Amino acid sequence: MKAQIKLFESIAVMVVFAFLLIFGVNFYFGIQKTSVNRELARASQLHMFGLAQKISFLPELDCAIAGIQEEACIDASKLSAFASVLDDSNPQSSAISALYFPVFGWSTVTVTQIYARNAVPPTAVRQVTLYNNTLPKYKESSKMQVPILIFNATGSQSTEGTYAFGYIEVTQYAK
Amino acid sequence: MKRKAQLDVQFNWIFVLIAGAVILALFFKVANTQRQLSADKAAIRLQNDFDAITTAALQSKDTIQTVPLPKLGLNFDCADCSCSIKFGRFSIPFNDRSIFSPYTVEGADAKLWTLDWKAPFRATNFLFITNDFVKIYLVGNDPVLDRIKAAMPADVRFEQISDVKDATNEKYSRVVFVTLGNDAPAIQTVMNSKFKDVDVHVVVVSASTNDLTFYKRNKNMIEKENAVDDSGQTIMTAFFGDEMLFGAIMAQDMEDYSCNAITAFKRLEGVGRVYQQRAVELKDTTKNPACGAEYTVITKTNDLEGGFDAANDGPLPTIIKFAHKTVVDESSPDFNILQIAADSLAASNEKLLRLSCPTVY
Repeated sequence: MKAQIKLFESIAVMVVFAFLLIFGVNFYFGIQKTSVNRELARASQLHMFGLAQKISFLPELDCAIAGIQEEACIDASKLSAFASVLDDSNPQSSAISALYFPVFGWSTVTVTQIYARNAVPPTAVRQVTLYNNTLPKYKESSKMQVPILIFNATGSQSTEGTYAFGYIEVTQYAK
Repeated sequence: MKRKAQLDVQFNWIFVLIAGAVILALFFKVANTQRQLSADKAAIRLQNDFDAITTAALQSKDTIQTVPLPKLGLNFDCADCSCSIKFGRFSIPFNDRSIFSPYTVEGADAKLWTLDWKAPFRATNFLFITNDFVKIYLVGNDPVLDRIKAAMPADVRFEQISDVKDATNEKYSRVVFVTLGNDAPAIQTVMNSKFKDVDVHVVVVSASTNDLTFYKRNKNMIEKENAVDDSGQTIMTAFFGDEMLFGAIMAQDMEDYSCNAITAFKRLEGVGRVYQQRAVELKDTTKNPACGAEYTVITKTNDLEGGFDAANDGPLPTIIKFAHKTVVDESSPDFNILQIAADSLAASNEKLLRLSCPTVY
């Protein structure tokens, strides 16, 4: 009888020990997984920032006068042409969008002009959706805005050669 | 009674053994999972850093920078033109990036060199990766090789030699030979005798046809690479511009070069289409008839989605169609067509600049 009690005591100690061990291990792995997920989130943020940065350097949009490229600047006429080429009403848009999937991936890219000195009123907001490819049944989306200058290479006498202020907004989708 | 006590002792030992095994297994699992998690975290961090480095490098033109390498080096893979950089279980796909590099780059650091590729407008930036373990020999004396030598940055290890026999095995892990014309058999002989233990990449340039022939090691012999893939499709082996030629020199092999060159042609098609649309919009809105006439010359086409039509297509539609055909066929059309269209577009763009009209690019 005494031996049986001793055995049950040992089993109870082992069970408690196992519980504590499993709880500790789960807790530890939980923290580790959170830190890996944090790294992945950071990777996603960095990737999005890289994409926003890359957009202003794309030859399709950049401000280049006689081959000299300006930083953080996009050409308004190139922007309008690029948006038309990728527009859904263009019969070739799906084929052309396929060309741009490696560039933008699952994302929505908009360019918003928020201030132009010669616009009436100067703070009139103009928004152009450049690329829209939403991931079906996405679970997460994150946004980033990068300020840019919008150069008017063409236009009326009052606006030609002027710069407006705006931002590129990138929304990235993930499962 | 004695028998019961014996059973008790035996049971205790079995119990201790099982419990010990469970605890030991748990510790092994913890250690293993911890190792995997640490490796994943390091891989993700490396992946982030390298993604940021390549993105930043590709935004600059004609620059070379030295970046420290992780202990495991860089490992690239280009299976069926789905190219990526591998970091443990993770990888970064090249996507729209044209990165010409050996598949394995080891050592303390790597050199990242960027050049913009134009036809005649900038379509993309090329990234070349090399390091001190790679040596490039330019074999012979020719204006093309002299041009390559002049453009090669001092940080890249290269040497111009007049004869392939002058090449010495200096224990580099990879040796690249660039030559023109018919000395490929001589190179093969020297490679097979002097460079038996080295990863060898030979690029034979045909300057008149803008075509390239590649040789690489197959077991103990240096053999010509077959410009036809497993499905019988011809592989793109031509080059346009010195930047693409540098791509051929820096790439692992013919397939790697071809995949990255096709990526560049995809970008050329995309950029060309945007410029075509922009030029048409400029033509429709300009009040200057001289500008309008030039935009018309540049953009004229009966059908942008049709085949080549030299009589009716302006330079911009010709470039778009050429790039599209190269991407779809993944083979080498006559690059003179692209050269003529690019020269014509460059001349028109100059004319627009002189006329004070908004330029096409």
